[in-house]
Amino acid sequence: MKKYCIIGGVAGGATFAARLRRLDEHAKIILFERGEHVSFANCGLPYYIGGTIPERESLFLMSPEGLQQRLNIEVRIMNEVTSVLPETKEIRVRDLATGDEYTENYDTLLMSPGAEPLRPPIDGIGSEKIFTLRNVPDSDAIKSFVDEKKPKKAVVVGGGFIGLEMAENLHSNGIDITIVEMADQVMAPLDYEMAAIVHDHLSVKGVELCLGDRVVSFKEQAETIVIKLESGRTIDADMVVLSIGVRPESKLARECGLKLTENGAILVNEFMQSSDPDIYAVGDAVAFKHPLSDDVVNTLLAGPANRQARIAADNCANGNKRSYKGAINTAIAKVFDITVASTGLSEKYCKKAGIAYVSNIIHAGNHAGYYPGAIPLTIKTVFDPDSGTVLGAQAVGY
Amino acid sequence: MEKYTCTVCGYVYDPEAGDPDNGVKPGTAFKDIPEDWVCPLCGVGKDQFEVVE
Repeated sequence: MKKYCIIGGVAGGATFAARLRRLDEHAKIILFERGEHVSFANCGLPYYIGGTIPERESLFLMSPEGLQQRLNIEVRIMNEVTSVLPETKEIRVRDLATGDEYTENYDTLLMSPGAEPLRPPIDGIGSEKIFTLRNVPDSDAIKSFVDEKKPKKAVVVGGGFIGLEMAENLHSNGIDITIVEMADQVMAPLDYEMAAIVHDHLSVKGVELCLGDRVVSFKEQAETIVIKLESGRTIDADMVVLSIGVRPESKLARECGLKLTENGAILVNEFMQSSDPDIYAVGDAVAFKHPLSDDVVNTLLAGPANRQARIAADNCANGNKRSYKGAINTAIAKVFDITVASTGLSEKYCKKAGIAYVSNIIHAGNHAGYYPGAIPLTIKTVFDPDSGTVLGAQAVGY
Repeated sequence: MEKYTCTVCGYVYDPEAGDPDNGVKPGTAFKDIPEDWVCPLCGVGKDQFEVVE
């Protein structure tokens, strides 16, 4: 009877466990999660904070008890894996509730530790008025601060998906928002002219956008926090949300000698095996060759994480037969009243990577004009000049 | 010329590629980059970088 240990109980880990059980009725499956929750809706967290998702319960897709009763998966929450020992095929674990440490052996290990928010060592970054958002306790902290303190002004550092979604959800609570973004645009995957449509919509919605500027220091002053920017400007706010970006959680993988990319993502082969054949890895912590370019990329999306987990489970149960082809990073986000979508390679990516391309943009209505209610939709496509193969596309509109 | 990685976000500065978007032309060794240059991904200074073995 094979014994599987799983590190990380959110998207990748939980999907792997469930799929594996369906393929192998008798395997022993233990899932280690250092937090309190498994398989929660990380993409929904900003909308729970904003109140669009009213019930906290709806964030939990599956509970530890549910995994236990329905699928006979032993879930150990508040248990943090502190090290992995590939030579003896064991892991060291600390039970955060009791403080006990113990060892668990495995036949096959799955690593799905995810990615952690960046907290660069900016002066004053330790303030309690500065929040990051990764899991449910983070959401509870932000939501209770907003509900109790009734902040008037918030600064969001970072104009990516999480930054824009947090800006929208705080704004809907009547909070005045300024977004500070170091690049000259929000939503990095988009080409500049497409992001400009988002910039315009943000200003229409009354959100102030500081592009090409960077936070130099935070300083608590009485009830507020003063944010000093590189341009010399200072902003007085009641709270700050840091959404600068994430990076793979690579401590365990690095310490046990697995091959990593330079930024710490776990390298895996087409079967989702790491450099150690008995250790598979999936999700935000993994890097894989992009199907359309030679780069090895780190994908931070739920879809690929779950797909990778199913493939890894199939390969563990039936032998390495199913291969992963990589993700083209299709991502779609709601930003206030508009929807922003991108997939594949952008024009700026092709330029940088020296990939031959042609691109075009159409500004059309989202349906025939003679029918009432057509609203503008801008679509950009990037394709190969010879074969016409579509390399990427972006769309912004209603 | 060695590559340097940002210890905060993992961005890797490759001397052959440089950082043209921020005024560092290809072929610039890390030590020759101006002191006020920052990591293009997360904005920390050069002091947060370490050489990649």
